Order: sequence, then structure tokens, then C-alpha cells
Amino acid sequence: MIDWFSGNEGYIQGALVAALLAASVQVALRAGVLSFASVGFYGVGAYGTGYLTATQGWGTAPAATVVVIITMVLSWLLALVLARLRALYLAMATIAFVLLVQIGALAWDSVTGGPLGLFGIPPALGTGGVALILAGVLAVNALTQRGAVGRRLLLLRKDEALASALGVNVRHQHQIAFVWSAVLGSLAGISQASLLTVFTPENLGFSVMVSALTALVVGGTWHWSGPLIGGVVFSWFLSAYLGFASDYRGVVEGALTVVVLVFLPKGLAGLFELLDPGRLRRAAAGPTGGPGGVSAGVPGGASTGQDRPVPAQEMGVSS
Amino acid sequence: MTAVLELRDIKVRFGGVKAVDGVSLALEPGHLHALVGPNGSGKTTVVNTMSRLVTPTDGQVFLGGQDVTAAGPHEVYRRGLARTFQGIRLVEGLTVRENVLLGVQELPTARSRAGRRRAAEAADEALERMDVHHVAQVAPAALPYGVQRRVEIARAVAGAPKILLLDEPVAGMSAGERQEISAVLGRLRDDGMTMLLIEHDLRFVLGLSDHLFVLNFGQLLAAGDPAATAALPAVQEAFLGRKHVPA
Repeated sequence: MIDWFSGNEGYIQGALVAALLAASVQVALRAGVLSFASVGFYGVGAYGTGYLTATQGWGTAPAATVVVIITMVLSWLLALVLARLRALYLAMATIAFVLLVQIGALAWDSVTGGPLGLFGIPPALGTGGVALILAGVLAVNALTQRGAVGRRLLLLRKDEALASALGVNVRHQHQIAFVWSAVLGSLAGISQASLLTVFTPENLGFSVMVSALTALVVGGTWHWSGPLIGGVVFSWFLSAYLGFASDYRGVVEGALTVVVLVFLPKGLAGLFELLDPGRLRRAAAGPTGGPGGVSAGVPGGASTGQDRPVPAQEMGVSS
Repeated sequence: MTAVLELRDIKVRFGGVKAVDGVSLALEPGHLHALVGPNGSGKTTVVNTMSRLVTPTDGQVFLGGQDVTAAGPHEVYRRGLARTFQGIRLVEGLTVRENVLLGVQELPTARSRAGRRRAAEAADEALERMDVHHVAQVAPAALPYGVQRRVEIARAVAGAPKILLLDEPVAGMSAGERQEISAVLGRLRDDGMTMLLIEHDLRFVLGLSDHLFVLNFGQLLAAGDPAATAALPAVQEAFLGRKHVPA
């Protein structure tokens, strides 16, 4: 077991960071915000912690705390600037932000180490620490996918005008999603810097953005487990078990992405829905299930955005 | 008596187009008002201005005597203005009950645990009131059009709003479905709900409303008792496109 872990630890670490980064894109997307800014904050997190620990002698915990606070302030300001942008326009603006961070990393020698990057970052977090961070993030994402928050997020994503007409402060909610996304990106950067003990401009930029988005889409864009599944598939399985086909990794990744997009639009996490036993229970409850149906008795938050509604035919409803 | 909702000299321009041009009207408590007008007369823009989805170029909006011209749509909702849309807008991926819960969960009263419990009870009551409780766990998209509309009205009334705006609730419906919705609106009126019904079919609102507003080319053409207002030659001309010839 220990041998297996030692042999796979590098892949596992890659999967954990990839999952964090994919989750950072997901939390914005599920509120209807198409933003890649979190990949820029991945750089802010990695360089910020690296600079404070490796060159200023700070401990990892205070450095990470300060970097997360800086991320929150910067991302809130960026959210105010980008508040009027939507969809592709917002995506383009945030891609520009990521590229600006990369250029800054190359140019700001005294802090980032320029093209050579930062070395000697203390490996304080370790695989267990990063796994703990990811578990916490996924737990929060899973909880906020259910109940009133889950419904609000789905509403925001589907119909902004309706959301505001139903009392949701759309701009405020988008800003919260943007900041939470940036914080997760920053945590991914802090984790990566701590695991690799080195961070260079090559660890940042367009390819990282594409990897995060691909892992998310393949894993499952809307389900909380999607980033974890995507991270494990892309950064672990495809690296560790591709064998003779490893020379064609790009082809395998592309083919897998296409197959998932075509046959599983909800990603690999969408397979859970096909196996969802709750759906059968709800169908069995039928029209006599009453207003609360299966979820009655837990007011206000019993029903979830995850619940798959039962088709009317199964409930005996006709026109 | 303070009007529940009041528009004062509202003007809305989209570029060079005057969608609404100096409309003033007041909605009295407990009345079912109807706002009618031919297609393109500015009815939906008036409703969007009331619910603050559209910001007027000029004029003021008052809700319960308070100026809400600068408020956001979420704020007027929380202050008691609910609405439905011309096209049915139920959220795909949520059940009927979850859709109705959306109508109560953002209210200031639903912030505490007890408040959330009361809000959920109110949602269940609204489902019963609109007679859609038996489909609470159903996907709305699979329901007949008329039932979907009742679910949408249940969502709007679940939070016990001070005023309900209904934008063409019977558009595209069969005669039977129109009758169903007419009965629902009648029940709400009997319960004392203040409503504004937007419609282009003059006949539908005549037997239902207490007060009629007629809009044409973005201006208020006439207002008053429904039958008397509908009989005015200017109103007949606006709807039929010709001078009214008395029988």
C-alpha cells in the first residue's frame, strides 16, 4: 500500500490541484458567471505564498492567510470592474486577466523570480493537507448545491431576469461567486507551490485554463463531484495508466473529451443521475405523495436542485 | 386611500423609440385592474417599469407610497410586488414545488429557520390554492400549458405580495384553459389581492376587472369603469382600427 502510494503520489498531487482548479471554474459557472479569472488567482496564490515563504521567511499558514485575503480584495475589485460583462465578453476579459498575471510573473523579477520562477518554497502542506483543503471545498460545494442556495444558483444560471424578479440580487450573487471562484483558484496555487516547492510562469497561462475547463467538462460541469472526477481522470489515470499510448496522450484526451461531450453532456458525474435510486422512489410516491412528496417534512430546504423531477406521465398527469 | 402602486408621468425610450410616453396611473387596494392595448402599445414596458426590470427615462414609480424609481427589481419584489411573465418562466431542473419555493425563499421573512419553515408552508398552501399540489414533485415542462401557468401564479402569490402583475396570462391558451385561469383570478380577487392584468384581448378582461386602463402608442388613452371605457369610440378605434359606428 505504502509502495503504491509512493509510486502514485505525484499523480495524486496533480489530481488534487487539478480538481481544486476545476472547482474554481465550476463555482463561478454554476452561478451563471463564465470566468477564468480564478486561473489568474492561481498564479497570485502560488507566487504570493512562494514570495512570502521562500524570500521573506514567513510561515506557510500566515502567508496563505494573507494571500487569500489579498485574493478576496483583488477579486472583489475586479468583479466591480467586470460587473457589466456577461458570457463570452466576461470570459474574454478574464482570459486577458490571466495573461496579464502571466506577463506580470515574467516581468516582476524581484517578487516572482522572472522567467526562472521561485525556488525553495517550503513543502508545508503535503498531499494530506491539500487533500483536506479539497475535501473542505467539495463539502461546501456539495452543500450549496442543495436546498435554497442550490435553487438560487440554478435560477441565476437559467434566467437572470426571473431571478431578479423573484428577489435575487443578481449582481451581488455574481460578485460572491466570482470572489469564491478566485479564492479556490488561489488555494489551488498555494497548494501547487507548496507541493512542487517551485513555481514558474510556465505553470500558469492559457494551457492551465484549458486543462481546468477540460477536466471540469469531462468530470461534470454542474455536479460538485465533477472537478474531482475530472482531476483524477486527467491528472492521474491518463498520466499513470496510459502505458504504450502515452505518446498519444493529447489524442486520447481529445477523443475522451469529444466522447463525453457527445454521449454524457453532464460529464462522467452525470452517470450518477442514471443510477439515482431517489428518482424511482419519487416516481413510486405518485400523485398521492402530496405536496411535500418524498421531501416533505424538511421545510425550506428539503427539495434540492439535484433532485431530478419526475416526468408528468409517471405521475399520472395528463392534459 | 394610498394607492398600492402608482406611476407618475412615466416615459421610457429605447433609442429613438418612445415605448411609453407620459403614463400616470394608480392601482387601488383589493381591485383587479386591467391594462389593455393593441400589440406594441407599450403594455409590457409599463409592467417591466413597475417591476423595475426597465428603468424609466423620466417619471416616478411609487410602491405603497414609497418612491421605488431607483430600486432594483429584487428590492421591489421584497417589498411586495410579484409578477408573472408573458411567456411561462418556470425553472427547468426543479420540481413544481421547488419552483414555488423560489417565490418565497428570498423574502426577508425567510431568513431565520422558523421563517424558512413558514415560507415552505406558504409555498405548500399556494400549491393547494392553485390546485397543483398533486403535481408538486413533477417536472413543470411535462405539464399542460394551463397547469404550468397555475404553477407560475402559485409561485407569485406564495409570498403574499401586496400586488400581483400578470402579463398576458392567457396568451396562447385554449378556451378551457382560459376559463381555468379566469376562475383562478376571480378567486384571488375575492381574497382581496390587488392585481394588474395585462391583456390585448378586451373581451377577456371585461367581465373580470374592476377598473380598465387602455394604452395606445405608449400613451394612456382611457381609464375607468371597464364597460364604459371599452365602449368609448377612441378605444374601439384603437382595437378595431376604424371609427366606432354606433348600433
